[in-house]
Amino acid sequence: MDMDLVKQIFDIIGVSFIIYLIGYSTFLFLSVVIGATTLYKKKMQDRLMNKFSENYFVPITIVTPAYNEEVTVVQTVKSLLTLDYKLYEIVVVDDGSKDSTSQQLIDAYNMHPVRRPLHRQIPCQPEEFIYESHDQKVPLTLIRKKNGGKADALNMGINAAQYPYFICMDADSVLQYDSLRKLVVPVLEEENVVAVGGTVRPSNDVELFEGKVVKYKLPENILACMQLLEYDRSFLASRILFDRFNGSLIISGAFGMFKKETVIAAGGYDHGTMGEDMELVVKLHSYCLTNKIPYSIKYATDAVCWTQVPEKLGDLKKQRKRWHLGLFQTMWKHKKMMANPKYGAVGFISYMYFLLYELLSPFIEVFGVFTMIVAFCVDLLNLPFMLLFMLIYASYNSILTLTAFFSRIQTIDLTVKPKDCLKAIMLCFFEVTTLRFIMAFVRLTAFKGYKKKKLDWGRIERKKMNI
Amino acid sequence: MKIEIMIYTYIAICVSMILYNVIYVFILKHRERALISNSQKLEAAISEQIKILKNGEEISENHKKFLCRELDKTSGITAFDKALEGIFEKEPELCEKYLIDTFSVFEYLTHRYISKDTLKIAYFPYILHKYNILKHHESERLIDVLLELLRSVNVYCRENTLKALYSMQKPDIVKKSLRIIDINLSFHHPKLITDGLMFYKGDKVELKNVLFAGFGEYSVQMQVNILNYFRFAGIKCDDEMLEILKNEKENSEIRFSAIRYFEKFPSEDARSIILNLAENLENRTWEYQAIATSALKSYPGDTTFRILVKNLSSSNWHVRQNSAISCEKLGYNYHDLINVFDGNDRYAREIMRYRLDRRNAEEAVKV
Repeated sequence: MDMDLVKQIFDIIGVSFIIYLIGYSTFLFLSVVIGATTLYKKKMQDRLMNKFSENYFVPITIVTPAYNEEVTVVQTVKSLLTLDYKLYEIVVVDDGSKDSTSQQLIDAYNMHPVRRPLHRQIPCQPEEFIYESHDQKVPLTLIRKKNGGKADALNMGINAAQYPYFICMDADSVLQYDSLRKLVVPVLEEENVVAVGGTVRPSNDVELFEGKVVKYKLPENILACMQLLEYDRSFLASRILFDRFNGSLIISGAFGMFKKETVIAAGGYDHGTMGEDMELVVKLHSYCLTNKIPYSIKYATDAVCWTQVPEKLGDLKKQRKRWHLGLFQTMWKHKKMMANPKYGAVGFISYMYFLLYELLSPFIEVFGVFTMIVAFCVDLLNLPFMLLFMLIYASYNSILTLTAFFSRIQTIDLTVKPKDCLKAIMLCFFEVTTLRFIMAFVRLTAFKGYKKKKLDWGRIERKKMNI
Repeated sequence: MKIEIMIYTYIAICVSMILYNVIYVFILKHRERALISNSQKLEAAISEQIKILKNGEEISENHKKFLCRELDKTSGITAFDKALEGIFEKEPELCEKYLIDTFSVFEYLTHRYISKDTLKIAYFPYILHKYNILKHHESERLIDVLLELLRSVNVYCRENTLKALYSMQKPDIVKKSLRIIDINLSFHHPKLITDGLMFYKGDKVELKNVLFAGFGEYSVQMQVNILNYFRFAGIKCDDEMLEILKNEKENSEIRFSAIRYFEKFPSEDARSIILNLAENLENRTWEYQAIATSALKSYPGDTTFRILVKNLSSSNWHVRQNSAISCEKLGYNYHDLINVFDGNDRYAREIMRYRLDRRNAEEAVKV
């Protein structure tokens, strides 16, 4: 092949790759700057009593789907019963666990069997038994159903919910004591709010008592610590930015609140998708925009849910593959939204961002690295320039990660020890240069064995939490 | 533009953000220290004036001038709040007297604050409400300014102002305030109105009369908010509610509120209407039947029992469920409902059995 042509191809690839990176850098830059500014403004608002000084209680049902959660389920419910909120109920849906999840709850909370008819507004697998408890602070219901996956369990929970708003949360997570009060604020502030996302923070090595942080420190485990930095960047950055133009496409499955009526009208959670949390949000956008229903999807930066993140690379790989498959399924299912003027900013900005910088990013990144190696082999790579460029890029990303980390720490009134600050500074570079690329390869292989995973709950090893 | 320059620019801005983070920590620490020292200064000055009041003398003009100067800044008003909080706990009566005597300061500040940023304005009505500053004074100028603040786009500014206006305990002011909120284009959640009115500590019967006098001026949503407030606050208004209940041309949401009122406060005058709404759907929506069926739990009797049993077989889930709840609350047992349990309607049997089992379980817990 003509060497000039090869050089031209490499030039085109190189320029495209750099444009891609610049695009991503610009997005990250904007989102971190806007995210940090929003958090500081929020803190100022609180100081100047721009908050509801009295409690207004919007009735909420907390739906907790559980599968083989015998280790954590009792503690999770215990933490839910200590929430600083008056008007709520708890519905735990056991999705046909193979362990003693249901029995643990029945014994711990003195629950008794009931023959309760359910108002089935969304299809789901049939229930096997229902237990209720009436001697707790709030009504507690346990529904054991035939296994059907997380989405199916959530749909069952929605059918059983008695209140107009429901919260979905994972059985291995802990809500901060004031999280419900904070989560309903956007509903009181604005009209037509159909969903509110909360902030998820890794709880590994954090000590909580009755939903309050007693002792905060960064996780000892390096992998968990890097995920914390990643969570901070993602929650501070993209979610706040997308919130600005009602373009959020994700509300974490670990913690989000939805208007029941709208979710039912849109068809509930999709059984066939692994990323049921994202799919629901995209579906809500699609449903409301198609039917010209005024709506908004908000993000409550100060409503916090603590969750365990994987400490083993194997678990993390499983989780990320699952997320990536879920992302692909959602994007594919709602492909009509892609750059479609009918869907406004959601179709043009949010969808395109997720397509280019989330779904296709592992392919582009791995292809980029591969091209560099080939170019180096045929002596077409300006190695010093490339290394310098990558170094600058990695430093830039690390600085953004640190900005997100420190902004978050300061604005939610947590204090970290200097040792932890140093740890964050040291690990952020490693996260950007190493973990990110490992995860790119992992996500690239997500489609291997795709069909077998359809109703898989995506297990990771659970530990009892310090609550 | 060269790519390197762009990346370097981004890095520079991000580094400055980290610097901002670090500087912010110091600013916060400094602000905390300044707040403490400011509030101590103010606490000393206020305590001195309280001593003067104790001796039967009047507050000095110099102190008022000092307050005007200090409270004009948001840092000053937050420090004042912190300082007064402590004194108020120890000497509430003298503190109240102090606030009455320094009213002119707040009158002056109202005009200073109205021109500030909406974020900063919100703190001012919050202070007025927190210390009941408007309770003993009537200043038209100040009220006008506060009513103007109700048009703010900032929900917290509106909310704090509403509370401040409620604290005046004047029904006419409440009526005017609700009217402004009603015609304002900014969304104000119904819960904030209904639950917020609970903070009105004045004569509630008088408030009811004033609000009903101008009831037609409000939008349907505001009318519902007001009626719900009467129900939650336990303000009896049987005649007005009965009139709404009887009026078939009245908006459905308003009539629903009236039915719920008569569920909480049963009245023999409302019985026949509620029975009719629960029994006959006619050309009404199912919500009428569901809400009236729920209200039947407050109207025991043979006709009620007959309608409830009939509604247990309704094709509408909500009517069926409310009917079962009403049967449970009225104390009917398996024996009373033998026809339901022996009947062919599985849905009626299931919902009724569940409610009775549930009642038994709740009673067992109580025992």
